[in-house]
Amino acid sequence: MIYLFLEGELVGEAYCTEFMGRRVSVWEADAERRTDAAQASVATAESLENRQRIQQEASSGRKLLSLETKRLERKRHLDQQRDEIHPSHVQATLQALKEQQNPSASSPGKTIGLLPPAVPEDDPPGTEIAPLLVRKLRRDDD
Amino acid sequence: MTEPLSSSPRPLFVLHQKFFETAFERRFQGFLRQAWKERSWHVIAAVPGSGKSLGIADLLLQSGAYKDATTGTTRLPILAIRAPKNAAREQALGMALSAAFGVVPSMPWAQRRTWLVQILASTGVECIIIDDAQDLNPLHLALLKELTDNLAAPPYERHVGLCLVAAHSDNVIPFKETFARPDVLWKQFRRRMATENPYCVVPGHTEEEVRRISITFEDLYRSQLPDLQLHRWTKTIFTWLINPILDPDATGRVTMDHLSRLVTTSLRRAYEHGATDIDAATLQAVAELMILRRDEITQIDRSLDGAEVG
Repeated sequence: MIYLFLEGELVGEAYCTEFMGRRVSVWEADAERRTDAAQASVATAESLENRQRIQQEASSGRKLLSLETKRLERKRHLDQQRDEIHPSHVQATLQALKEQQNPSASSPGKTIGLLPPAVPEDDPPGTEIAPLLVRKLRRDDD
Repeated sequence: MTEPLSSSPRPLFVLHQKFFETAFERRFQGFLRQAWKERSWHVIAAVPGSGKSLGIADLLLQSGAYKDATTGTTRLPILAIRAPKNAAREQALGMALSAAFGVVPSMPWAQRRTWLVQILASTGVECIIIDDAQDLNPLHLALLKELTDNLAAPPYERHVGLCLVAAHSDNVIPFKETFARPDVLWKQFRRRMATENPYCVVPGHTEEEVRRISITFEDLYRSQLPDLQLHRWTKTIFTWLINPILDPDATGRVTMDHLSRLVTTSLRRAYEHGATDIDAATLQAVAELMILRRDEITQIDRSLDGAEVG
């Protein structure tokens, strides 16, 4: 609370609930407010920076996915136009060449889209993993 | 390993619909069993597609429920129902509970409330499991409290466990906020929740757990794909299935639904191409379909037998 004096005479009291239970002078309160304001400003700046970073990360992921979707869509359109671009005999040859290719011979190191490539891994020697228990889904299942 | 078999046409690919006792199911069912044994109340959450409903159905089969044909006595230690959808009234939950006992007798709602308590007691219900509990509303929860309170009071004096099994996302646990509200009903509900682990999340599968599931798939489909070595692709499959598109909450775990879809679709494709094992291209194509092209729209301008339509 603050005692108000006018020309040396006590004229009343002012109560500050913010500092209730504490012994704080006006100058200390001012200093505290200034420090709090500075700290709040630092916290806001840091929070803003984090929010911007998270937003940027999220939008960059979406952008990549969007680009990949567009690429696949373009590819699909081109595939659909194949009939109009190539004469039938060329298409037949292309189809035959495609079928000759062994699908398993596709390079495992090649990245398709955003997915990492499929790479088989052999178990370390001596690894023995038992299969899980398997049950019928319902009592009357065969 | 992927060479076609003989030129004679192969029979159609047979999909095996089985329940795998996976690590997730052991964790999930283990918790349900504990709630059943201790008659405690819990909210159990897992991401959609984890296998919660299958786990509940399997637990029900193992619960020892029976109906004696001679005496007509029914024993139903676990009462499992699915939360009513788009039905805000408490009667909807009452009817779902009634239906779990078989034929639903016709009676006024006020009478059914009493009948439900009687039949819960007479069939020896020890634990109530509600699947899709995220669809329950305050009226449903109030009815659950009323029924279980009446069951716990004389003359029945039977305490039952309650498991609200819910699908969750964004790392938000269903009911946690609701039960923390100051209203009397929620305070009472909260008091009934277990002291230990009132809210639980059951995570999906780790890479090692996926390996074991792959080995089980190999055994299951060995007759159709004799050289199947699915477990060699475990690391790749795990990496694909924790892609942010399939795992938006970044749990770093794999759900059984995604794993089954990837594996069975790949196996079917490999089988239809005459292969005896799975290969990188088939797996990658299916993964791409599931992850990158899952929203693609297919135009069906042919009938299934390949003939032009129209």
